[in-house]
Amino acid sequence: MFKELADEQLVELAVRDDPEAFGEIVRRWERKIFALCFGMLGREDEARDAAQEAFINAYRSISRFRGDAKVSSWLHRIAVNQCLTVKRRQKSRAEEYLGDEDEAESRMFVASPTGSPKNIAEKGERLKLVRQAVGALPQELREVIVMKEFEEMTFQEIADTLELPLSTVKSRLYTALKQLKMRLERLPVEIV
Amino acid sequence: MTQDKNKKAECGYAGQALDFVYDEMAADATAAFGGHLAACTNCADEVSSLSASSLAVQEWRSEAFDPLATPRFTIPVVTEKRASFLAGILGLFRQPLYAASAAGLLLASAVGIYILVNAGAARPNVERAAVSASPAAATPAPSIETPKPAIPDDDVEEVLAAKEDKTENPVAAERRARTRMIKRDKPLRQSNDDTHSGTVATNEPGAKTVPEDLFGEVPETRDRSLRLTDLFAEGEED
Ligand SMILES: [Zn+2]
Repeated sequence: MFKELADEQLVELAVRDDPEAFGEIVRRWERKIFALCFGMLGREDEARDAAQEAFINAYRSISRFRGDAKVSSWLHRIAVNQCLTVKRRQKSRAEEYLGDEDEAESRMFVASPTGSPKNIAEKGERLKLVRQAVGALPQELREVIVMKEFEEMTFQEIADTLELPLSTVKSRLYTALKQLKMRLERLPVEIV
Repeated sequence: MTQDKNKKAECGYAGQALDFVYDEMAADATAAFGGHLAACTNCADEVSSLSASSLAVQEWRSEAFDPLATPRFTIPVVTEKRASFLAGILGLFRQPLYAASAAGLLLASAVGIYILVNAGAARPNVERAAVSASPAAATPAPSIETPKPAIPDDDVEEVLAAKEDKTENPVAAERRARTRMIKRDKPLRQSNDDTHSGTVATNEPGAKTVPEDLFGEVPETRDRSLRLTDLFAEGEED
């Protein structure tokens, strides 16, 4: 019943006290919002919690949804704000954020079927550095690169979601990639 | 970056490297820029630099995020119910200690008045008054010591979004073909989100179905006062 409805129609139904309509919105956007939170926060557990909180916050404030905005933009803003809240908490325990996922990453790569132990260790180190480099980007640069790489949005979709000019999105993405390049230059990457 | 721009300005393809790296150019423009790359080291360096960063992030995503199942998101919803008389009385004991004590005293006073008014009346009426008073007067203390959540469990309903309706995951969809400057040593893993489902509903404080007042549970508070009135009315009739 809900599958044919646009996001905005589902929001209207949810405002009129039909929670299943909001369920459809969650189902449509959960993977993208989870991806956004993962890219912004770098950890599965925090991404999961942030996405959960984002959906709860969205449902709580659904009656304040502006009809002229897109539901995707609204959800993204709520999720980004939730991630920023988590980030602020992380700042007070920065060492924990940068160090405590090493073990989980190691486990992930031990289970990987390809590569020698040395390669696996190198890859683990490389991915850890990428995660840290992305995590160290300023928020406005981090969110555009996460939307591009994790959500695979087009420049125009990012511009619409963030309500920014297209040129600003491209400029931020360019700067983000350049800053990442500087941070990652010492990484052992294979150039074809 | 200013220097980079100056370099690119010389060749007339300024700012196109980003579009090229992300395959966001029209087909003819892509072909033209691709041909230009063979002759322009500045643009080739720019594409290489941007691609290296982009692919590093893509590798992180494909290794760390794509294998993750989408979590099951749950949002509790309250269904508004009219509280029964018994639920109303029992609800008093879910309130904070001071509120429940005050309510208990009030109810006990009402029962006392009821008994006094009916003193000397027929025996069956006295028995009926005692029965009416018993839930409040005789309810054991543990209900107060261990208050339950403001919303009774049977008022909370979870609405599951249909798992079967899951459409293709947009994030886990196959990547578009694009110029690869960095070779992967293993193929991308598809996301494993077969087990996920959306779940909805809410009983959060801000939800419109649960108005806030001093003790919460407005419907039950209203219900309590109504029932006390009924009790007095009943006594007067007798
Ligand atoms: Zn050029």
